[in-house]
Formats: sequence, C-alpha cells, structure tokens
Amino acid sequence: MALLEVNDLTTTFATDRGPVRACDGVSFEVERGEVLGIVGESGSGKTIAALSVMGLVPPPGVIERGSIRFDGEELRGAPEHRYRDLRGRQIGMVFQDAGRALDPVHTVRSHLREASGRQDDHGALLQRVGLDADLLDRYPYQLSGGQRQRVMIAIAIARDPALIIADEPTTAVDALTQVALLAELMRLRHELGAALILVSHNLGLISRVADRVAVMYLGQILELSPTAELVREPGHPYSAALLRATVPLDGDGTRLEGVGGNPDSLLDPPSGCVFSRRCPHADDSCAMSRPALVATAPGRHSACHHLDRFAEATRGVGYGS
Amino acid sequence: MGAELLRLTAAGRDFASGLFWSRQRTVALEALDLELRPRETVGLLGQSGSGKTTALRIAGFLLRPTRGEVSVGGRDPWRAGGRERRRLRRDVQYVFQDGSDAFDPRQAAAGIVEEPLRNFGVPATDRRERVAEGFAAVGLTADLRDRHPHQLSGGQRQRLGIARALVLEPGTLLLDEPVSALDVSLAAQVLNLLRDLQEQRGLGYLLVSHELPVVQHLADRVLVLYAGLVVEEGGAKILSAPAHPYTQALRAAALTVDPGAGLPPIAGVAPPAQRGCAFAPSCPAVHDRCREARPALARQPDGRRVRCFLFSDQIDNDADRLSEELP
Repeated sequence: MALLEVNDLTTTFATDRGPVRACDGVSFEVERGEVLGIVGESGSGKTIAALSVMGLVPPPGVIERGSIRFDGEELRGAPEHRYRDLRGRQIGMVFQDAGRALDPVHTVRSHLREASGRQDDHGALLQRVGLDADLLDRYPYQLSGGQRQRVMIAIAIARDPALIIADEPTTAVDALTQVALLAELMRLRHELGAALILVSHNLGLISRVADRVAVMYLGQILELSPTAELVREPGHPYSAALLRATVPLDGDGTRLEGVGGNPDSLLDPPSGCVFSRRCPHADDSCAMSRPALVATAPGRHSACHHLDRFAEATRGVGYGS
Repeated sequence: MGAELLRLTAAGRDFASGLFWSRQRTVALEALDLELRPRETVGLLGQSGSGKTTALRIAGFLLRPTRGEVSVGGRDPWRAGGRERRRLRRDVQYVFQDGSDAFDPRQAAAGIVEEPLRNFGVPATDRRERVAEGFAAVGLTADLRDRHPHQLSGGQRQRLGIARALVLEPGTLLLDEPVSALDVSLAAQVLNLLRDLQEQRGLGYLLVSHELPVVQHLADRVLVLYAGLVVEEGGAKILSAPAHPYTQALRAAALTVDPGAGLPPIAGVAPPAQRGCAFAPSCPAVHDRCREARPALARQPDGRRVRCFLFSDQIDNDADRLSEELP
C-alpha cells in the first residue's frame, strides 16, 4: 500500500461564471520515501491538488469527487480536528511565501513551540535547518526571505512527518538561496525518510530531485512518469513542449519554441483533451473525447489519443538523446 | 554600431540608513561603467543586494547617482533643463517585473498604454492609433482593450507593460526581471517578442536578472554584480565558462533539466564581507589575501575582466580607480 493514494480527485470552485474544476479527476500515488514532483503552469491545478490532500481547499472550493487515502485512512470528509492532527504530526507543509504563512505577531520560538508541541529544544530544531538559535526570539519581519523559508521547513519537520508537501518552496528567493534551501529540504527529507510532494512550475528544479513527475495542465494530469524517462522521451506533447520552452543553458540564443498558442482558461476548458487547442498533433478526435491517463510502459502513464503519432514525430528530441 | 544610447560612467549610489545621530552609509552600487548601443543588450546579472536594480534605476534617471555620471544620447539628464529632461525621459522606458504591481488597477488596458502618450501631450486623435499599434506590436488582441490588469493573464500583463514602454518610441528599454514572474511557456514567448522588437526597431536593452540562462539568452554583453561591484564582465559567452567563483556559483545554481544530476553544492549565501573581497566569506577558493585587500578588475587574455586574485596576474592598464580610492 502506498503512503498516499489519490483517486479521481475533483475539486470545484463556484464562480460568478459557473463552476470551475481546478482539479479534474486527478489520480496519483506517493510511495514511502519517494519524491513526487508535480509540475505545471499557473492554473494547472497543481496547488489545488496539494491543498486538497492537506484538507486546506480555500472556500468556495469543495472536493466534489474522489478519494484521498493517507496510510490507508480515507481523508475525504474527515473532520477538521482529524486533519489538524494529521497536518501537525504526519504531513508537514512548506508554502511559497513564508512571509504570509508565518504569523507576524509571533516569534520564531512561538511558531516552533506550537509546531513541535514541546516547550524546549527549539534551538536544536532551528539548527537542523541551518539557522542560528539566536533567531528564536525574532519576529518573521526581522528575518530574510531565505531565513523565513527555513523556519517554515523547521515547522514542517518538527514532528518527523511521513509526508512533506512543498508548494513552490523556493520561488520567492534568488538562484543561490534557492539551491541552498532545496538542498536543505532534501537532506532533511532523507534523514526523516519522509516522502515529498514537490509542486513547482520549474521543470529544471523538479528534474533534479524528483523520482517521478506528474505533469498537470488545466486541472488534469497529462503525464505521470519516472523523471529520467519523461525527460529523455516525453510521453505527452505537453511534456515535450514544456521541455522545449525551458530557457537552455549555453543555448545558441535563437528563438525558443515555446508551447504554442495561448494558455487556456479553466472558465472555458476545451472539450475533449484539455491540451487539444495548443497541441501540434491534435485532430478532430482530440476535441471529441477526453483521453484517459493510461499505462503506456512500466511505470509510465499518459493521457493522449495519438501517442503513436506523437512518439514517431518526437523520437530523439528529448534531452540527453 | 550606431550612436551611443546610454552611458554610465563610474556611476554609484549610497543610501543613508538609521536615525540622524547614528546615520550609516550603505553602498548600494560602488561604481559602474557601461554603454549601450542600438540593437545591443547589456545584461546585469546578480542576486538581490548586488546593486543591479540600483544600476537600472540610475540608468532610467529615477535615482540620482551619488558619484559618477549618466548620459542619454550624450546628454546628462541631471544637468539638463526640465524640457530637455522630459525629452530624454521619453527615450528611456521601463518594463517592470510584474505588470500587476506597476499598473493602476482601476485603469483599463488601453488607458494604461495611452497614459504615457497623454503625459507627453500627444494629441487625442493620434493617441488612439498609437495605442492600437502598441497592442499589435506586442501581440495583444484589440478585444483586451477594456480589460483591467487583474483580468489579464501574467503573460498578457507583461506584454501590456512592453506596449506601454514602446508607445513613446524610445531607443532604450530597461528590462527589470522581465520574465521571472512568468511560467516557462509564457517566458519563452516574451523572450521571443523582445528579440523580435529589438530587431525591428533597433532597440537597446539594459536587462536585469538573477537568472543566468535568461541573461545568457538575451544579452550581448554581461556585467556580473556582487555587493555593488562588477566582479566579471565581458561578452555573453563568458557565462559558458565563468572565471569568477561567484559567476561560477550562479552558473551552477541554474537548475537546468538534468534528471539525476541532483543539486550542485552551493557556496555564495553568506553575507558579503565589508573588508577585502566581498565574496570571500562564500568563496570556495578563498585565501588569506582575499580577506585583506580587494582585488581590482583585471583584463584577461580573452578580453573579459575579472575581479579576483586568482585572475589578477594580468593587471589592467586602465587600472581600477576604485581599488585605489577606496579602503
């Protein structure tokens, strides 16, 4: 049994212009100790997927369908006190903007006291995330962005969780701090033997640390594959497009291919395959029916009607081939 | 090479901080030399606190340099009269990191692009046409004219910011992290758009970014800044094989798609030193001398200039004024 089993998760928001499915039939598993990357652009539903697992879907969002099993226990519909307990003890969370996630009127010590449930040893916790114990009595505004993010990581690991969910944990900091923070997170995760769901729009970052990657677009997972295989031979036209759009190191400075077309809106999702309006391989059948996420090779899953055609056209275009 | 668009000569800026009786001087930018010509992109690469944003604001004469000079088309905007300064201002336009912070949220897209035209007294009859041209130039469709900033996607807002910067037909665009708030697919489109506009209009770009691949992609020349000083400078190709340990760290930190490569060991997150080489506390190649004295920018055989004792054998002929004047 996997640590986390998400099945057909559908999270809907009521808006003035009708219901919006931010997550639409999302299924994935996370094994113990595994790092799963969820990559996607704004509006892809990656953050809502993470929030749904944590029971933190903001109103007016509701989980309309599906199941979320953590360590065998069904969480969908679990009472708030059960979620609170889980979030404290077994699921640690790191958010993008620690400046907002931390309470401005509480010191670091007070945050750590609440997170750990212990009255002392807070300095040791801070040292575990590479911060000086001197910072315990500071308020969040007295810390740098990188320090605040480390405090968030300390809170997340305070009770040795089995699963850490990190949503764009390093997006608000600059390049060097990003790598240092990520290295810290990966080291701690390894020490704890915890699984990690790493949500990011940055495929480069994900590729460095994730065992498997789920690629999301417009609320759906379009590909779910081991990282190395996805990069070497993308199993979905959108995965291939994301790889091509990434600004390369030591490129020749010529035009970037990009994804093509404009981002679709959840308010007006394409019929059939959600990527069909932008896909170079799409034909009429793509707009007719939604392709299911099916196994295409051991460990690989893809939601595409024309995988054969796509595979033919892109053979050898992946990274490192 | 066309005529010079923009030049900074040993331009630097200090900020005062603290209370009156304990006022301290913080050096945001020590001294920067750069020049920009039409169809050229100069990239300023560095982290927050490197001085790159200060440099950009000096170049846009939003900030008066404490020392050194700025000139636009050969004229110093700080010595020019009001009318001439306005004319110079027209020629150097800003593109901000994220349009949502830079725009008036109550104004519709067309009004945002029109505003600079109105400020510069362009007659109403011409304005409508110029706004339409601006929209077309950046690939925004006319049906977005009445949308407000929050109703636009991140990519559309960034295009709108570029359209607004372009309507006055400037020679220079100052690009402040133009794609760092954007998703990959949109970033690619905006980078392509910037490339096309430069080719069509002969624009000069002064680009600020903390992302090495972005600077490498757009820039012809690069200045790498750390703690207010240039530590390495040269053609963009220097970023493929950086000499200075700081530039090397920035390159290593560029997380390219590379499964299994893991994360690079990173030096470079300690606060800069006040004495000697500022990068010494983070530098993997540090030795005693680095903590005592500050290295000068020294020209290397391949033409680049590097501020590091590892590369100071070839002493620059136009010796670094700074290392002589400052402690």
